[in-house]
Amino acid sequence: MAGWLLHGVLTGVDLCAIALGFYLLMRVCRVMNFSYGGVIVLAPYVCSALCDVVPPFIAVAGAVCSSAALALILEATVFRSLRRRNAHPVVSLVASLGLFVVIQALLQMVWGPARQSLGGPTPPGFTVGGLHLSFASLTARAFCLLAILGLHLLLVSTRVGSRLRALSCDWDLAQSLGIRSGRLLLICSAIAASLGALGAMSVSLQFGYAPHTGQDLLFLVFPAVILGGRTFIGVACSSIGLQVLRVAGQRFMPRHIVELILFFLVLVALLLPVRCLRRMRTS
Amino acid sequence: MNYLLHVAAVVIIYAILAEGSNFVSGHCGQISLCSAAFFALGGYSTAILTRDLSLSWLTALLVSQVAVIALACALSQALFRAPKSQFTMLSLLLNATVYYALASPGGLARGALGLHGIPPARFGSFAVVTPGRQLLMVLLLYAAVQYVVRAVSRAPLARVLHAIREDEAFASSAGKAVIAQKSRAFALMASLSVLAGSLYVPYASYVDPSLATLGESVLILTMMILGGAGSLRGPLVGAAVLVTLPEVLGFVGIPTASAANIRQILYGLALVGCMLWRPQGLIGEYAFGREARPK
Repeated sequence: MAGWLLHGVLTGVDLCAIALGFYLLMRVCRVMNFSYGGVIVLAPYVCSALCDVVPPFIAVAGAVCSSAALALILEATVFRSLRRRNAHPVVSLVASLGLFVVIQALLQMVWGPARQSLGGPTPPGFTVGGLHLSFASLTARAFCLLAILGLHLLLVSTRVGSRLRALSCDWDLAQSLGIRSGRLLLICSAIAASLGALGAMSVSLQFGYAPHTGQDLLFLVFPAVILGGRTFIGVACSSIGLQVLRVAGQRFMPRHIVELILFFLVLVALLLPVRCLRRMRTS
Repeated sequence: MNYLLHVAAVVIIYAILAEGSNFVSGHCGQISLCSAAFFALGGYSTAILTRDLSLSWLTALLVSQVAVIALACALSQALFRAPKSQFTMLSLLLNATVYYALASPGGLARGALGLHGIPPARFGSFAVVTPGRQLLMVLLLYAAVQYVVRAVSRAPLARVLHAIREDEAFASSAGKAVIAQKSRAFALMASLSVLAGSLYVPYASYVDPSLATLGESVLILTMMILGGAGSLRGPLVGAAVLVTLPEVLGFVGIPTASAANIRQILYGLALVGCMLWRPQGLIGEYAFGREARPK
């Protein structure tokens, strides 16, 4: 039991990093940004390519930077243009979907459709409760956890964080108080992409990666973002909680049944007036 | 000649799908990414009922319609309680759940292998086997769909849906049952998607989980938006452009290995370009509402 519980929590941390990046874009940029799935999955590809020529830590930094750079380019070219045209959120959503399709197809053209692995087949590590933990994946999770804590600190105790929170609460009021949204949105996109890239690389260390990994990761984090609603803690807790449930469920039944049950749990949560959920969703 | 008939039939099947998506995404303003799930459910149910239970195509279509519309009505009660942005995520989750269920090995759907040897549609002794007959059947049903779509667009339902699209709070305060009206639009989308699935499966004589991928849902949405959201002829125009595009690329001589990726890139760029420069689509008039946003 300790093994699968630990597995659930550790993979939950990875998904938490990805979910929080998506949540940040949704709250601050006001875009349900599907292209995020493509942006974060670029990181494992770049990391794998860089690992052949530079030390792993520099490769990871390079991969995070590549994802952040792509997110900055998309924000500066597409999403900023849409905002200048006063586009409705639906328009931005559809554009992000288009970008996601383009990125996914480009990844497939360059690196092929096959699943690839990051790190060796049996990386060095140790076993806890039947679960093999590699040093590399533990280090990646530690980075994810640090990044999540760093983001929390940034949001609650820095000037940039308070401006980001102001933008997420009331865009017009924040503007009228002199907050320059353009630069902040670029910062937000870069932070979200970096956080997601760390999560995606950590997931890839264990399960490998393919061009459609971004889409699979989005499927995994959507229930957490829906249930977690509008709070940082809510999204973080529901990411880890849902992943523990998913791992526990997959011990007893096939994956598709678990996903079906989780989907219906999300629907039931939307229907039932569960007070804590409602508070999380609307606060 | 048979090739042209085949392309025309596929264009019309996709136009029916895009018409369905138009009810929820175009008229109602809720971006739905689960059309492919209902398309696949319609296809699989028709395949199982006609192949394994030897029911006629028409009976299979009716049974599939009733089952999937009941499912859509039940699901929509929960789906539409979520905010608009979360609805899109939920519809995508629904699509993924159906895909995983169909792609899992074993069971009635037989996983990635899919179902083969699906008999052609028959009406008494009249078997729809030749491409000409298949196109005729598809055209007749498309004409029926157009009749229904035009009737709905003139009915009060369309006006309420447009009011919900423009200002949901206002529609609600005017006494409109917002969730019930959205559910009707969702049921219409499910119904048309099932019809398209039921038409496609005997035509292709096999069905596999690739019908329910996210790419398929995005393709249907792209057709609807590229043609013109909320318009009557837009879905047909969008379907015609996007179905014939890969065929044209085939003539250009792009290697088969990269043709699928290039097609995806073109779809994606078409969506982005459309949203940037022509959000009302090629022949549409309605562009999704505009909101005050900082420059």
